[in-house]
Amino acid sequence: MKNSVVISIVDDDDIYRYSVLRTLKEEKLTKKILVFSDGEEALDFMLDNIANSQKLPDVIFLDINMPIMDGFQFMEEYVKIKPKVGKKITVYMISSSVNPVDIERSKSISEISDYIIKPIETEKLVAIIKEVEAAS
Amino acid sequence: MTLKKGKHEIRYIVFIITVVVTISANLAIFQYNLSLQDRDAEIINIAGRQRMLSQNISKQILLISYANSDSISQLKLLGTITKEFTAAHKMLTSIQLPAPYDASFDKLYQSIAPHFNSIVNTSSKTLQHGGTKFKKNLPSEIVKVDQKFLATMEIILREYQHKAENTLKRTKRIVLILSLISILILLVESIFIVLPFVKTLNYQNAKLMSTNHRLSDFAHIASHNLRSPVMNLNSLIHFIDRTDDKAEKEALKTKVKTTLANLNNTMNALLNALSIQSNESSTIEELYFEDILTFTKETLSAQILKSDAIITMNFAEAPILKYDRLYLESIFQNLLSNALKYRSSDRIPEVHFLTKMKNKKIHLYVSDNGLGINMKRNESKLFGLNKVFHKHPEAKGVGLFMTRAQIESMGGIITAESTVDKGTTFKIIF
Repeated sequence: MKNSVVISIVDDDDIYRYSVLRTLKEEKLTKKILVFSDGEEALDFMLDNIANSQKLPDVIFLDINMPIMDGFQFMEEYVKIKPKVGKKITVYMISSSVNPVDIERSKSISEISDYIIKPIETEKLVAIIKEVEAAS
Repeated sequence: MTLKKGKHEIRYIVFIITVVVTISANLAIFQYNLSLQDRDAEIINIAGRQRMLSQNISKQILLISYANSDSISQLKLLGTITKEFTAAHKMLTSIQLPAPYDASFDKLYQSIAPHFNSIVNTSSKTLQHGGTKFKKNLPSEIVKVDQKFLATMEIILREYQHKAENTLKRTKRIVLILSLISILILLVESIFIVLPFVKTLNYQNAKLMSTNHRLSDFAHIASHNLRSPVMNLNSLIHFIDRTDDKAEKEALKTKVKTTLANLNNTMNALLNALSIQSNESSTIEELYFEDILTFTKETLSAQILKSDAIITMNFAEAPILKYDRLYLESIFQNLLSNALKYRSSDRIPEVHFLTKMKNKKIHLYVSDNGLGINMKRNESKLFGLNKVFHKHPEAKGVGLFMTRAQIESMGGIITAESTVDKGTTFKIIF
């Protein structure tokens, strides 16, 4: 089943969201893209669809600095609901922050696969999605 | 708070000099007193030895007379001892003693003089004639004289010891007084020189730490808030290059313009914050809180009218503040406009301004009954740049960042307490 993975982008920067969406579209990688402008929106969606694992994302590209609920606060909540989630979700922290505090903190959270400093290159994006596809 | 450099140096030099002088004076006085004690010990030693010598002389005389000998070696020994005995006596009597002791020792030496003379005479007679001439009455005579001499010498010795003990007591007292004076000097200097010095250092250290903190904040803010739009511009230009669709090109160009405008705003905010932190242009004047609030209400009259807000105040406890007028106006304007912007649609907005005097510092409380902020989540971000906590179209995340920069540049602190859907209270310690 190709093109079946669900990708979620959680970022408050609309130009960045637009860029990633456009790149994904150009690469014809996937059709199912969930876009949220902050952690709370993403969390609310996941709570609403927790029983419906097909709707839940396979991979989340999570920004750190966001209003209302930032990336780390989202992870705190996500860790709590993780046992109820019926599928493996890969989380990538993607931020323009080069602050070592942020990078160390991301590495200390085992649910986060990697910390990527923006901008994410198209090749890296493709590689991540191919990997998740292969795993699912 | 900051001491002038010259004044600082003089104080420091005074401090060092007094410490050195105090220590040297203590040392000198202590050394002098120790030498006095040494002298006492020496005298006691000689006086004690006199008793031994007098006994020795009488022993030699007795030996010579009993043995009826003219042994040259024995006579020679007697001569040596007697010489030593005489010299020591001269030495002891020639010592000049201080006031209360001179009279009593004079008297004692007067009373011992006949015994001394008698011993020396007997000795010289023995030396002249050998043991033969005085055989009969000599033993009892010399023994009697010697006993008298010994008894008086014992009194002298005790008197010397008494004097030495007094000297020791005096030394102890002097050392105690000197220690107290030294402690007092150091204490006074600590209070007037070291303490202000440490206070200044602490103050400057705290200021440096806060500046460092702000600079590091600033670096991260710059990194995040400037990198993002630049990256976005990059990708937008990249997309413009790749598309031939005119309409799409135009849409992308609009996005570029928006991004540029945001970048411009961010840069202005950062530059403003920098100029606030350098704190060059600030002029301090006496300001009435009430005047500033009146001015702020005039500035924001449109928003106040629109929201029907009720604004109350109580500046009775601390009506006046010495501050930079522009900063205080900006602080009031930011806090009031925030309170109005993030009002709850369920109730008429109420904003209360209150000043209090605590620990000699003026505290300003600005409380509202607005939307409130989730402090558990947002406490660390509240005063950051481009941080917004509400999905509000006017939320830009610049106001509180500037407010904090202004307050901290003047050495103050701003904190907030808030309950979601109850309201927020900002506390400023000037």
